[in-house]
Amino acid sequence: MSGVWREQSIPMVDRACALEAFAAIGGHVTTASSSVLQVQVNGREWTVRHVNGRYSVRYNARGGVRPTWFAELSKAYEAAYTAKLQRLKAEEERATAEHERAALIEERRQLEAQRLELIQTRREEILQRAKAMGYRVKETKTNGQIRLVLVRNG
Amino acid sequence: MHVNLGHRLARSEIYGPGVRSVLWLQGCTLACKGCWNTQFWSARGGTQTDVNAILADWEQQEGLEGVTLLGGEPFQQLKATEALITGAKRLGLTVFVYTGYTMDEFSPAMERCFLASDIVVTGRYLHTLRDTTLRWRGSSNQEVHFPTGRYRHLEVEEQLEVEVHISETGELEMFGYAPRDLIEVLG
Repeated sequence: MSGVWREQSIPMVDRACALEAFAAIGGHVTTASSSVLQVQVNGREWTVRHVNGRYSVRYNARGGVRPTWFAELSKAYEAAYTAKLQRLKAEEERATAEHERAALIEERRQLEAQRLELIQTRREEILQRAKAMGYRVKETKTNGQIRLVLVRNG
Repeated sequence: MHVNLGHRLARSEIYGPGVRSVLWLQGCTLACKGCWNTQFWSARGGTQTDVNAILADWEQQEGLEGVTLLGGEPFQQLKATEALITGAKRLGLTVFVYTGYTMDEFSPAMERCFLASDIVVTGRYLHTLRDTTLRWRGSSNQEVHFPTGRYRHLEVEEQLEVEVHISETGELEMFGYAPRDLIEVLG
């Protein structure tokens, strides 16, 4: 019998924050390479793939166990990421030496650049694929969120 | 008064005319085979949300043409649904409601909600009649009604609409009746 596999993914551009998020939800990373992580969550082993700033898990949609912890992971990552940005900002303010301050500013700038690049890559990917499939696309941006309406006749 | 919400979308352009705020009400016992929103079936899930807080939120949003209620089953939370419809109308917003009930199944309260709404889609989702090229419906047995006449001149051009949101953190959300091939390439 063939299975129906689904993939769930979340963007986590900063690896340190991603690992922190796994720990925050009670996950235990058993092995980790740059592209694959083996993570134990609630006593179950999961393979998490890491591609272009996104971490994804595949599971069997028919009767398989769903990664219900993914939503929690997303929240934990957001919290870790926000805390890191705040920490860098606070350190910047405390740093007296010019070179220390410059390094911290650069680290924060890189984090922001990674985030924007991820969003831009996703946007481009969707636009190209949708247009290739015959969809017209209308794009709007509100409060940092990009909204793409894809329309196709017939 | 509270409404049990499964999901909420501040702004969307595919659940009716113009920019609309969308609420998925939690809980549905109709349980249509092949339903896309099975996560909204259980009445135990969801978040109890104050109706007045929702209305206050709608009042503050700029550029909204209306609101859309779907689910789950809005007509299984009739008091809250009626309060949301009345409140939205008071704010000058148009109302679009999805219900799995057909008109011959309506109770008097369901009928009141129907008559106060500008657009209503009625009928169960029937997987055997699934048609993703229809606008605002998932299967061809479902009917679009314009009870108030507010949109009586609107021409409903049948088309497939999918909306993709990319959040500030790069997270992706997809809404509408997306065909499988599109889900696969965007997933």
